[in-house]
Amino acid sequence: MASNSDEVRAAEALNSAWDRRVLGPPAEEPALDTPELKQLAQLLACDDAPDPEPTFVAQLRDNLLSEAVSRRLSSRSSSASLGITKTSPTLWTQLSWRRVALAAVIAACFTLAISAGSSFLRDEANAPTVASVLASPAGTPTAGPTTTAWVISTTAISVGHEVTLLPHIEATATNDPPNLVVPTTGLTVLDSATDGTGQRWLRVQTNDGRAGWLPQSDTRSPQQ
Amino acid sequence: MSHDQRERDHIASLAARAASDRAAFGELYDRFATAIFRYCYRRTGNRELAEDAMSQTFTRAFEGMSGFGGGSFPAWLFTIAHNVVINQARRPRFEPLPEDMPTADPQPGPEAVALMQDERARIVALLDCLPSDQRRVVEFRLSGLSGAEIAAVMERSVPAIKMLQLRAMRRLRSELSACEPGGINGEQF
Repeated sequence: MASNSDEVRAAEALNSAWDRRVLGPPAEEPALDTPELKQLAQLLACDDAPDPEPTFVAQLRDNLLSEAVSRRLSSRSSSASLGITKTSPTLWTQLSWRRVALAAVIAACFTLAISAGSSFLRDEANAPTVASVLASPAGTPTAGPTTTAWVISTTAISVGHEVTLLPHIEATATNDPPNLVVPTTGLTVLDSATDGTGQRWLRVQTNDGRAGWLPQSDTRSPQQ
Repeated sequence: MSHDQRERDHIASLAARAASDRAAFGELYDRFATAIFRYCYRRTGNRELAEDAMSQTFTRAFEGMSGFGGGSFPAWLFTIAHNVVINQARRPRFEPLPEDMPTADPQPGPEAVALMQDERARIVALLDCLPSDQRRVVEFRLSGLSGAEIAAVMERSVPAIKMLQLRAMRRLRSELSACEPGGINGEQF
């Protein structure tokens, strides 16, 4: 029966032999000719696990690295200035006592204003004339094909190709030529697509080279 | 500093930058893609499943790079691959056609192919018979991990890994000897 030191020596020899194969350059000590090393050589000779297809390796690499680009782009755009602000999806969870107090003050002011207005109603002869802006036909767009877009959706969609959503953008769109313009920078409409739900999307590019998709349905006319 | 140590330091440097450096992650991918695929292939025995597992492994690695807390990157990556393969094996799937079906290629001849396949099939079957920890050590070794990296993956000491290797080789040799009259090279264990 082998002694403990023989076991340790055999284990060391086997480990060294395998490390030499894995790590490349041969070590100085000569390889021992033990049964375990012969078994190792036989095992290595029988190992015929194939290499991956080069096309698959290249495709997966491209996918991973292009995903890396789009993620970095997305995270960078969320903090970019450009006159672009991002909507907060957690408005109500961020309510603090200060905001509640401010809302209470504003509500009190409205109550006072309405009370003051109602006093005029009791004296209709001296009541001021108040034009209803909301009811005015001037509220419809008057500048031809110009609209203002508020992009409020940050939901991921699938349109059959790579998508990077830009954050909340206020921009002006013109139909002829197709163009989107924000006050401080320009967005160019590159493409449009329809997703599985029928939603129309515009693919736009900013002046600094960032590209992304805007939902076309989240657009309203400026005077509405 | 030895070549091995420089290599390990370089990989550690790449791993430290990979969360924010696309080129660094790409270089790590280039270095480990083949080893991960071959590990997955040994575990699954099927090219498509191995490609699927490799894809999942690198996707998870990419997603988790920011949480990589240092240590051995190969050990961390192979741990992911191992978990992916284990989860893949739990999923129900259609049984694929065997890949070692005879092909039209006349080289190196049907008898030689049959013998090689028989030898390989026997080794694979013997690996299946090994206790799971010994089998994992052998598979990690065949995938190119060093003894120290295997110790990190399996959360064992390096001396324990060395003994597992020794026992695995002896077990394989013993099983093979039992199948052949006179044993391999006439030796018995």
